[in-house]
Formats: sequence, C-alpha cells, structure tokens
Amino acid sequence: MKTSWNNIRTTEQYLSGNMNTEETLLFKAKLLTDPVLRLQVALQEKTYQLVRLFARKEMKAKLEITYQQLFHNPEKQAFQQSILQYFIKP
Amino acid sequence: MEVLERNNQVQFQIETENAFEKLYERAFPLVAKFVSKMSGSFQDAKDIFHDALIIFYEKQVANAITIQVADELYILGIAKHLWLRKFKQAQEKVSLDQLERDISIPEDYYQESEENNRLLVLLQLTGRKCLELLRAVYYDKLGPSAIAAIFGYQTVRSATVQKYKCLEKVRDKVKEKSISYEDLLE
Repeated sequence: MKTSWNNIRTTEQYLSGNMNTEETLLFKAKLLTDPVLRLQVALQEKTYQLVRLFARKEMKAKLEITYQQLFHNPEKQAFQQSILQYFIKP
Repeated sequence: MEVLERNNQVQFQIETENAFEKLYERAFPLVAKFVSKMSGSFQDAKDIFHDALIIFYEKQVANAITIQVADELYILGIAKHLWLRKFKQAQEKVSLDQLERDISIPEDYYQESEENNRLLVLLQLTGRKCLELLRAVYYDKLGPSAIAAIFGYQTVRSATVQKYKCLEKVRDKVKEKSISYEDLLE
C-alpha cells in the first residue's frame, strides 16, 4: 500500500478513536512536532465532514421526492388528510 | 456469484426504501401533530420531520438506538429535540418523557457553514463519484463486499484501494480550494 494511504489510514484510526492508548499518545506527540501531519489531520477531518454534509443533502433531496409522491398520489388521500387536518383552520 | 450478490444488493436496497416509505407514512402524522401544537406551520413540520428521519437513519446505521420503543415514537422524540434546538424559547412548552430525554442529536446537525457548502459544490462538480463512494463507506457504513457489488469493482481489494484513492483526492481538493489553512487548524 502506498505510504500516503498508510498515513490516511493511521489518521482515520486516530480520528475515529480506533487506536489504543499507547498509539494515541504516540500520534499526539507526533502532531505536536509535525505541522505537515497536523494539516493533514485537519484536512482529513474536514473531508469526513463534507462527506456527511453531502450525504445529508442527498437524503434530504430524496425525502423531498418521497414527499412529492405521497402528496400527489390520489390513493394516499387518507394519509394526506391525517397531516393536513392539523394545519387547516376551520 | 458476482451477479447474484449484486441482485441481492439491489433487492435489499428496494426493500429498505419501501420500509422507509412506510415509516414515513406512519411517523409524519405524529410529528405534524406535535408541530401544530407548537403553533408551527406545515412547512415547519415537513422540515423538522425530514431532519428527524435523517438523524434516525444515522442512528440506525451506527447501531446507536438503545431505547426499546416503536420507530415512529423515536422519530417523534428526535423531532422534539430538533424543535427545542431551533426554538430555544419553546423550552417550557415541550414536554419530554424519560425515554425521550435520553435521545441525543448530532452536535453538527444545524451547523451549516458557508465555507463547507461552497467546498461541497466544488467537490460535486469535480468528483461526484468519489463522494458517492465515500458516502457509502462512511455514512451508510456498507462493508467492502457490498461496496464492490454496488460500484462494480471486481474485488473487495480494489474497492478498498478506491476508497483510499478517493479520500486522498477529496482531501487534496479541499486543501487546494480552502480559503485559508488557518481556519482548518483552529
């Protein structure tokens, strides 16, 4: 495996808490002295955040389609009514 | 063998989606009732409900649901927490029972950052395929053989290699496109 991937894997273990105490201490010590590693860890953490953001946005878009389908389906009138009743004021 | 696994995977996805739609129909009325009691609008109810479903999915995937309660009630519990997070002054109006009190909401859920949204748009333009693979690995937490089947890799090993390639590619893109490194090192 490429060295850069090994670094990615080690960083992943650190960020996800899948390191034992000894490894964690060692990694933290490296972080203190190695600014390049520090930047790498920060970038990788950001990458995971962006993947999560992407996934949530995709799910939201999918739910919007489910919503459109359910609220435009004449067979689902009972369901539609069970929601709308709370918001339609007499 | 390969084809069979792929078919199973597709079958599994269809079943999951059907189950999710049924859950949608069961849970939405509960959340709508709650939001209307809080004097929220239909749009509020829909937004909160969709967010609650997403969080519910994340918890299911992470095996983080420890309370024995029907799925729709759990979703209602999440929705109540989300309402409280959005409208802090609603504190005394929302009553949480013992089980609901134990439900937690991801800290980062409503922390939309303009910088992240901007970066995501760029990433989607240049490497959507990698984002989709990384989502399957880290968000949907699918195993290597499922990943290989869905994305059409011949072996589990090539799926793993692809994961690292994608992580590296996205990470380097983030580095290239970030406004400043100082922000990252906070």
